[in-house]
Amino acid sequence: MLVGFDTSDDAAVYQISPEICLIHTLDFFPPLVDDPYEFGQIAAANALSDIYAMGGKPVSALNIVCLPSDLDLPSAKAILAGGNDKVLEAGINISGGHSLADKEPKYGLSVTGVVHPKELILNRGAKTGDRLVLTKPIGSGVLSTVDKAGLLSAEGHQTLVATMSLLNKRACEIAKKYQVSAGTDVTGFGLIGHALEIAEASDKALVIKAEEVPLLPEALKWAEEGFLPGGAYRNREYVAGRCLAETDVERGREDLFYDPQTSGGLLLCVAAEKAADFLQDLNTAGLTAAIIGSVEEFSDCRIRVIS
Amino acid sequence: MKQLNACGLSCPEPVLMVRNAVASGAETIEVKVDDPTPRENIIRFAENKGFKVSETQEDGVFVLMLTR
Repeated sequence: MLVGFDTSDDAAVYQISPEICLIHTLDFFPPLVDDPYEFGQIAAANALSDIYAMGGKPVSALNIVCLPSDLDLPSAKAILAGGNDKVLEAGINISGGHSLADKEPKYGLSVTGVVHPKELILNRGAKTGDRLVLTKPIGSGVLSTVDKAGLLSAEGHQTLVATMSLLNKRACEIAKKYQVSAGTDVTGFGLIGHALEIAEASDKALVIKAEEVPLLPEALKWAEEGFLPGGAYRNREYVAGRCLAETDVERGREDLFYDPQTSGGLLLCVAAEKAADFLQDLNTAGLTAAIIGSVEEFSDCRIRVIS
Repeated sequence: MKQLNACGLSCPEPVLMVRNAVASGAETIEVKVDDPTPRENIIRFAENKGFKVSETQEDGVFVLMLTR
């Protein structure tokens, strides 16, 4: 067993030969959008993301599905169709699964992937001087809350769904060309929570430049208006004492750094001299990626947010 | 003064209630919440809209007074 619980990595990793590691992951959750097909797509992209976050390639997936007995058949089918289409896009097939009756629908996948041990991306390994690259904009937790309140514009909804259902496949493939030193995907613990995992596992400090972090359109406005999910406050509490933000960083922007993300982007550490080319490759592939900070020696604080 | 009771409600409902009250012209709002998330969200909303926020606590309930 190469990776288990101890470093808060994205999946379990088991080496089966000198050249192959198996990656196991599982994720499922209740709907965060009304449209069942969109929900299926998002849940599948989110589950697959843990494989990409480890530098791997998915090889098989199983459905995990909970459905209320009174859910209409077309909606149930649409959830599964969304998941199936996303899995096909990842280049694999769903080969089975398990379903049960539950009050609230839930959907996700158990995914198995493979990775060469040398290409494994872990939370540990970040080097002083590395640049931090984020491959998707943040704010999906806030915008899902706004969407739930019926206040998100049609355009905002479209962008939100497109971002959350975007596979981290391309980002992972590009990352392999640049020998990233460490990385993870940004999900429930928010940008700072996941940055902290890298900082602690690597025994480094991460510096985040607030203005450089890409935000989803409208996310800042709604964060300033107090549409934060409870997870954002819990994430802030969890990292308290280990993260320091300069006082002139706007509150709304800082709040977004704790916003729990669904199917967020990859947060990757790459050597400074490769960062510009890496970013260009990501942007050429159509990703809203950015260099958002750097890795430093740890002295007293794991994460510093600077203006 | 507009009085709102958002106890037992989870976000975004409490902040929506306050937002609706402001949209209908309320300049002084008292809102009760019993959970830290809506409390924080209402403070953010109110300050963003130029309200002053004062707060008291009664038996685990936060009473927020918003004025502008």
